[in-house]
Amino acid sequence: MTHDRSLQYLGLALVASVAVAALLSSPVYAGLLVYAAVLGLFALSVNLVFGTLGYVTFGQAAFLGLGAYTAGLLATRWGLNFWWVLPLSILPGVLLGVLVGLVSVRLGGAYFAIASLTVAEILRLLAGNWVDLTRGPLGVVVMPPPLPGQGWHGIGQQPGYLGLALVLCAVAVFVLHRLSRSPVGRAWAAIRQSLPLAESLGIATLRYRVGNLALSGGLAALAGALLVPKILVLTPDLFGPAYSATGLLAVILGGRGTLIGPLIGGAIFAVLPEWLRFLGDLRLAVFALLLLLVVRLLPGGLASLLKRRPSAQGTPLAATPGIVAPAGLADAPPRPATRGALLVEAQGISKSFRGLQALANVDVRVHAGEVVGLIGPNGAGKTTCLNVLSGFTLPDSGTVSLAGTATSGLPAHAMAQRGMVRTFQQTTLFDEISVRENVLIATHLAAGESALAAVLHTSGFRLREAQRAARAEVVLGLVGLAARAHVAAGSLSYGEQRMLAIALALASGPRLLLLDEPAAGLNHTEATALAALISRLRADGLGILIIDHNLKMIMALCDQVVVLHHGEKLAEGTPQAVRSNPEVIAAYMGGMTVDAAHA
Amino acid sequence: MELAAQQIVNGLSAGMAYALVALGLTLIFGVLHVINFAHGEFYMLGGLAAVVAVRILGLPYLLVLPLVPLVLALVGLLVERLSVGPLLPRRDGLSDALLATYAVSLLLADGVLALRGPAPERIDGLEGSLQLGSIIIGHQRLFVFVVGLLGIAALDYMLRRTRFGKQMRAVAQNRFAAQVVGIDVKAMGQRTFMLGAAIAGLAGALLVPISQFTPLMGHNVVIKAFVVVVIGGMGSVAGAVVCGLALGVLEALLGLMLPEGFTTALVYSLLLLTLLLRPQGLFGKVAR
Amino acid sequence: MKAVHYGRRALVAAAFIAACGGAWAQSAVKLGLIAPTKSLVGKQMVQGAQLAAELINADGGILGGRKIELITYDTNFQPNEGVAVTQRLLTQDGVKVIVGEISSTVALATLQLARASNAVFIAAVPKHPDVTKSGYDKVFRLNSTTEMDGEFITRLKADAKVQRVAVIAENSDFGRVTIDGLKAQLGNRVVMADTYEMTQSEFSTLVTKAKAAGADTICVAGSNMEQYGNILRLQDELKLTARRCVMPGILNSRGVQIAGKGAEGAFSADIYVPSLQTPLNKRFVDAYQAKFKETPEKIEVLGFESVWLAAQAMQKAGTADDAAKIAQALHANSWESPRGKVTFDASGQALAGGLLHLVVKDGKIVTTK
Repeated sequence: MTHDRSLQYLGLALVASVAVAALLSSPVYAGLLVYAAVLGLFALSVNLVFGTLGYVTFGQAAFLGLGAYTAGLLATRWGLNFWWVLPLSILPGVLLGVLVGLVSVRLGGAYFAIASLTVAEILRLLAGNWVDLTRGPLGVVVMPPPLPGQGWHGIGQQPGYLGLALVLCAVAVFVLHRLSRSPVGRAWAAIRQSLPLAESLGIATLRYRVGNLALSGGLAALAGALLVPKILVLTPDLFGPAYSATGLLAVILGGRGTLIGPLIGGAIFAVLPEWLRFLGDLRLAVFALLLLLVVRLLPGGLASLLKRRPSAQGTPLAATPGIVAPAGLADAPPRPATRGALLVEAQGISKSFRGLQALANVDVRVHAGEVVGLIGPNGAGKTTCLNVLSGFTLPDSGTVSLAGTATSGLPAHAMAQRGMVRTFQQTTLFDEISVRENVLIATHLAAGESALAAVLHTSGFRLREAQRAARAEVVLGLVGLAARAHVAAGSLSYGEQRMLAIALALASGPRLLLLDEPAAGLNHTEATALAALISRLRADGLGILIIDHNLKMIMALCDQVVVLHHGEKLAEGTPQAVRSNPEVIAAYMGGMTVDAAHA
Repeated sequence: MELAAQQIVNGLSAGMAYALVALGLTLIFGVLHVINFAHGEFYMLGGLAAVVAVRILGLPYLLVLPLVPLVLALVGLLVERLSVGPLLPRRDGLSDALLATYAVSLLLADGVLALRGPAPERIDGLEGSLQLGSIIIGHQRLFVFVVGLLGIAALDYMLRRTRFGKQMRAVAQNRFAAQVVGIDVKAMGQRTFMLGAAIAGLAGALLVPISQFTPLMGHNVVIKAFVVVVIGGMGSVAGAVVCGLALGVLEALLGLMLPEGFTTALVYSLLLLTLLLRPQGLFGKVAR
Repeated sequence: MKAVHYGRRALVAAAFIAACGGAWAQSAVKLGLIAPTKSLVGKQMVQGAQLAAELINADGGILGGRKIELITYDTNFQPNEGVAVTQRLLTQDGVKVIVGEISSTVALATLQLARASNAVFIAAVPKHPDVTKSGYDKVFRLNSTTEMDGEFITRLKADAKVQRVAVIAENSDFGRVTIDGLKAQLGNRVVMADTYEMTQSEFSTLVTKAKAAGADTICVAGSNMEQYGNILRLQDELKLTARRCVMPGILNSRGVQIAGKGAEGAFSADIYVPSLQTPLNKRFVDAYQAKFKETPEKIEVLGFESVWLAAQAMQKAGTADDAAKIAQALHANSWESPRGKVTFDASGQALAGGLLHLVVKDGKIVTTK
């Protein structure tokens, strides 16, 4: 088990920062290094949204400018010491991040990009026109008071400023690193790769999105405030597309999704334009060409050239002594249900989609230790029924209650938190990462986690991490994928992928599993293994609802079978009863009556 | 009242420019699902082509106008080959294409700036103005509006009645199904890009006599085009036209009461509001 | 005997030639020039400055034959670029005198750094009063300030026919200061005062608004000739009969060209016209036309002046490195420039004759009383 050395690296980085700041005597290089640190910090904030969470943002300068103006205006208009108000600049960035996060909840992809650009533009126009506050386009000159060490190496030298910038950069990397190796970071990775899957595993995606944008906003605002002593004047262009573009392109050039990438990109953007000054007018055009080449030829950015070993994402913490990996799922359901208890009940569910009645007055019940099969011809409304049960679709009428309490309107992740987890008809996994990482993400519900504990690596955090790791091992063993733990999920065979999907559902510790066509496309051996798993889970006390077309397996496995046809419940009962129900036969045979069949 | 009428007239020519630029953008999005960030540069290059043809080649403006879209179609093809087509098949293809078109936008704008210099350039279109009662309309503005309408009508006809148009709509609705029935979706994507560039270029050439050519004129118009496309609905032709014209008129009317900066901020807020309440836009479909 | 004699002469000659050669090879005097080189006004200023360096060098250089070398950097209207290049000039390139710049915002930022490093800064074009109000003794400004242009506004005020004034100004330091100045002087004779963004290209709304406000005079304040030119053209297109007033310091022939018929009859004021009859001006205009095939106007001459005066001051002070002496020389003396005699007041503001009143006749800018 590898040891987490991040704290030691941080210490090293802090010492190095102070040393460099004190010893670097060339003011030009010092200036470049400060700018590189600030741009690196800014690029890290962009990477948080773009690389980690997966949302393209063209308006990160909104936060940058907000931080700069906050610090600058507080310092000039109210005469406060600039260096004391610098930390305060984080707050508006966080608030704006929260706002953007909440507002953009329904947006993704290009919409989010345009929205972010628009927010930055609005702020730029405000800054340019609210002359009473910001002096409009003339800008505000801010001269921060000297820090200790100023003038040490000569006029214009600011070792204190350089040291501060480097230290803040190092701390930011440390915090982000720790977060990425925690349920918080995993939740973000989950959201990036598949939002519905994340929701189904109990990750409150809205909360994590907002948190991500808030953190990103705060970081960018800090970078903005840090920029002020370098540029000396606040102008509305701080909110402009030039800075947003710089941040985004620095991340791409350096390598999105990594922590070193944005730093490299930021450094390049700080230094290269100066070196390229000899190109004169063509400077920015050449830069743009460079970036186009990178996007075309090196999508992983420069950091991908540095990768020596495959992504070591999610290397777990050292196993804490005293925690023994339990056998079986004895620890899995946090609140074991009593056998036979009613887990979920849907009553009178109706749902129509633009005139098509998908469900009409359907009742379904699942008890603990029971396997219920939901069958019917294609288009009968089975998946819709599952969607309604799990909170992915709101019914037009009818109620769903979990263990007696009504759950109408609850989002999917809340259903998962209450112990009901579903899988998807289309195999939905986090393809980019390893099997083990997939399951680790799914252990999100195993124990609540706070970002602060994750950063500080409190003993509580370590304990919970060990528990999560242990559960992941157990679940992998259950579905028979322990040997494939370090393979990328996308490269598993089809059958393995479907088992992994179930493993994910299990890892969140459900009391009730809703499986949507788990056997689809499985060969005989795989289907048998699946049936064995389901029997085992039933024996462990879970309630299971299965939709499938593999009637042989359904009839053999299920305690109860419900038949849907054209959105209505056609029959319900034991497999034998349903199998010989004439209406069911007619539905599957396509309308031929029993008499006609015999005639 | 007559002030408002005059403003509406003023706003319609600006609105027509927005509509034309937004049209190309929305077509490209509808078929390729890519936001072409270089679109503003197509507009700028259209203006540049007109300026070069009139000033350097000495051709008359009216002759130049139909040639500009042809030139821009070629440029569009080049850009598509460079920054969209090869990137789409990738896993992160859409966001990579987004970034690549952004890089192309910077490249084109700064390239032109570097090669040609920053000097603004004006060419004469149709000089003079028409007076209807108390409302005065510049001839070029009227021309822009009329040509724009004709262009939109032609596009509408093409989309609905020609084979090419139907194929384009097929690819926009369901790429896979279009492939299955034998439509060359890759070629369709290229041709759509070319068409979008051509329309934007035409808009640029139409507007240069009114608002001068500068290498950065693309940047200024593209954000407004985004507003139109998003509010109108990504992929909706009707949305682009109606909202483009509406935006021009709205800006003109609001401009009577507020400074331009605030008007623009208000328009952008409208954009955000739309994204919040109805992300598919006014005319768009819910399928995202 | 003769051989030695000749030998000695040869040696002396060689030494003399070596000394001259040494003088020729003497290090150039480096002057930092900052400007938004990608914009037209920046380019114009830089051309003027380059011409000055050329003429000085053709005249034999300064300080015993040393040539002027201009180190030019692009600031692109960005204060942080201004700071970055100033730092580079002062530390890496080792200059002691920085000249140029167009934007007041950039100039204010550059000024801070120049002050911290004790360098001379001669701001050519910035008009904002604050540039010379910081108390720094080594900053100089060549252009007239918006305050000095007050004479123009006084004239407006005195004109009884100017009763309803509409102001259309760019949203920049220059535009806003202009609006404030007009409002202060003309009070409620200002019936409309609106700004436009620097990126704007559609002005029909503003012009229509001015018309609706019943303005008899429309004053335009914008540093971009394509914008104010457009506004003037619109006044013609929309058949406005209001008097066309262009605020001092911005009218140039390109703007007139862009404005077309809209410029006819427009009146303005400035500190320079190319037709000025001073000995240096003739030389300047001829040389500029020969080199750049265009007639220089105000921006070009200020660029020229910034380098010209810097060189003269260095020559007078006898040093290219002692900023204090150079600044003192600038303050203490009067200087020859294409626009006549230039002196500097205590705050560094250039004083050079009065405002020339201009009017556009038949597409040309001419002086008037």
